Amino acid sequence: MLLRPRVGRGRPGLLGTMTRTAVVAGTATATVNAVGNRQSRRQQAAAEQQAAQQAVVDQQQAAPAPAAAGDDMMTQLKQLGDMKASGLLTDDEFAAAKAKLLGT
Amino acid sequence: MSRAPMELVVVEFSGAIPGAQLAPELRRLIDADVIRIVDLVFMEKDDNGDVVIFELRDREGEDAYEAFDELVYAVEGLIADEDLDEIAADVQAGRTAAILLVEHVWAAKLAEITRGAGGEVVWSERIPAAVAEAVAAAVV
Repeated sequence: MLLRPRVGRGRPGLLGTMTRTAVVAGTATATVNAVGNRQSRRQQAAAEQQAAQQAVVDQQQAAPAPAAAGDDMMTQLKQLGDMKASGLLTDDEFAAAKAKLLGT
Repeated sequence: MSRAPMELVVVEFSGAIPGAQLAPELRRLIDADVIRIVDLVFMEKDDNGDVVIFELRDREGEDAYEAFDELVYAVEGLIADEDLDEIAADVQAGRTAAILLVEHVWAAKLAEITRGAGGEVVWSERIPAAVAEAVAAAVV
């Protein structure tokens, strides 16, 4: 074997850099999802069949994740609207709660 | 030189790494411009969970590792210590892992065309064959 030079491995990690870049690029959900899948795969280990079944479950659970934050806010806004309509909240309380929810 | 997308692959074995069997297939893929092996590191975790990281040059004279030598395009140290720390947590005790940084040469032109057209890969995830088969077999 040709004697290979000793290589330095002090650079920033590929995995960490990918995660950081993904946050900036707005693709963090996909990356976090991939990492999550990797970790959950590790946790089961066991039989290949079991792993396959679990991966299907992971996938089903992972799929709606990107939309979750938006859905959550819509639900809360709707609830606020209902509360106002039913007289539980005054106009001012509704406006304040809505502003808080939207972060404005 | 512009790079193609790369994939970090960690494969662990309960016994020795089958270098002699893997090498010819890797050679074929490299010659066919399908992949390039950009970096290669090995990791051993003993039953106590202690981890030893080693490189090709540390295993001179061992056939299983010598087989990889001519396949590695350039060991540039792109797999960082930071990555190896993270990978070490995933490798099981009593196993030896090969950690490869594989450049998907086949995708280089596609990536270039996509970029040129202002396209962007939003999501790319490899689905294990077993999962695809399980989904295909599911009764709807």
